Amino acid sequence: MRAPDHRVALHALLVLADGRLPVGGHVHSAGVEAALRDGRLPDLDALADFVVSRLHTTALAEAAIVATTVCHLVEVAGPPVNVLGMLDGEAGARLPVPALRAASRRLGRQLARVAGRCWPDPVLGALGDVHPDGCHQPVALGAVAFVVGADATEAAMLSLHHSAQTPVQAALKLGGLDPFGLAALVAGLAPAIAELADLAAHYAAGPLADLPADTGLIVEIDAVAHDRRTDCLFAT
Amino acid sequence: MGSNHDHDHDHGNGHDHDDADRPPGEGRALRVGVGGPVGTGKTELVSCLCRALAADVGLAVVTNDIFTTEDAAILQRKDVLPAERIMPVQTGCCPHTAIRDDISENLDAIEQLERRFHPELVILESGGDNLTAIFSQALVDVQIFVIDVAGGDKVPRKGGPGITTSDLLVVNKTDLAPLVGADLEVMRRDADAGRGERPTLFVSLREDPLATPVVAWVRDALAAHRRSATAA
Repeated sequence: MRAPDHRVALHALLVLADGRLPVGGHVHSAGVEAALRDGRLPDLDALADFVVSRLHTTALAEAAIVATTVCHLVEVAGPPVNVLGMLDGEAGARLPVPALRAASRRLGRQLARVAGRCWPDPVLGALGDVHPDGCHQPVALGAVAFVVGADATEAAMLSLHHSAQTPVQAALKLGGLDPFGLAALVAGLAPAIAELADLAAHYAAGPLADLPADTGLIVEIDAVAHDRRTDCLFAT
Repeated sequence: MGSNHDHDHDHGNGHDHDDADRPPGEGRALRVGVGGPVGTGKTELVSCLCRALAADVGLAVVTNDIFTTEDAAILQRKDVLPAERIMPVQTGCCPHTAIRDDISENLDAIEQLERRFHPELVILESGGDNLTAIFSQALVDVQIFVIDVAGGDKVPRKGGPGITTSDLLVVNKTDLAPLVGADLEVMRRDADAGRGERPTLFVSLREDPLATPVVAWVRDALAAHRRSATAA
């Protein structure tokens, strides 16, 4: 039985995992719109491969930043803005595509806006001081997770969950894929997400330079091409 | 869209959100939402408002067309407003979500325009949607819902929050009434029955490209907004 205070943290995690929380995520497809356009996601199996690849690359890199942010805010003394600024640099360094860097900052400031209303805290206030356009999303998410009392592994799971749901929900809308099949796909990711969350927490205990920077070339090329189009339904 | 690059716009002191979080009517722009079903004339109405107001009112526009830049491109082609004052926003296949359930992207766009241009009036044009679409009170101060005669004279009776609760209901394309067999009196009666004291204006933007009565309504809203800002 967990302590009552952790049930409070758990409730905050449920709120943060809920797609109804207004964080601006519904306008992002995580590359699904571009992949669908190219005919690379014809069915549920192809989407499952897409999501699993994403989890093991960019999503792991993001989750590691999220977990590291929690750990550093717990352990490191000094003003939170210094910790957050350092991690913001690490997050940006792992986003070579300008459109994705901009989207990451936008999502970060949108999360900071709603989280600041839900769980007011000086650490969340400091997010706005890191960069005029807002903190990168994984750093913002890590800061929010820290404020609500989640640990590094839980924070990483939350990040990985959104990394899976974002492309899945976009595929639901753009491809009309079976919603029950999509729900089962996400539920079936539990072992992979648990394992990757542990890995992210492991990275969080190590030096910043060792944080993963895995990505996918097609994802990045798609992101650049998507940003140049004028007929997109999703921002990324 | 590249609407949010790292260094292409001027920023404040890192506390700009304070202004946006203030309740309406305290020194920031009047935010007007324009919603309604597809094809009823939302973009045309926004063009009319820009043409009529741009000379003496600082203006900016956010568009939410499903294909992001479609409406923005129309406004730019019509040369009604400098391109940089028109910002298209993607809505991820959900125009109503973007104006009601999760307003983050639109609020973000409005704040960027407010920081850059300090407009007195920001018009937010929703993507075409159904009769239940409505703007969040946290996104706009007043909202205009646009329907048209060509959609049939039953539309006001069908109701929905857009029709019954919008601050102004605009019924466009009155010139088509005889062609589609629509009874404007029925539309007037049903609109009044559903809306109580809230105004409904019948227009034909084709015959009145200056949207005279709607412009007058927006000017009144702007004057009221200025008065409340002065009083605050």
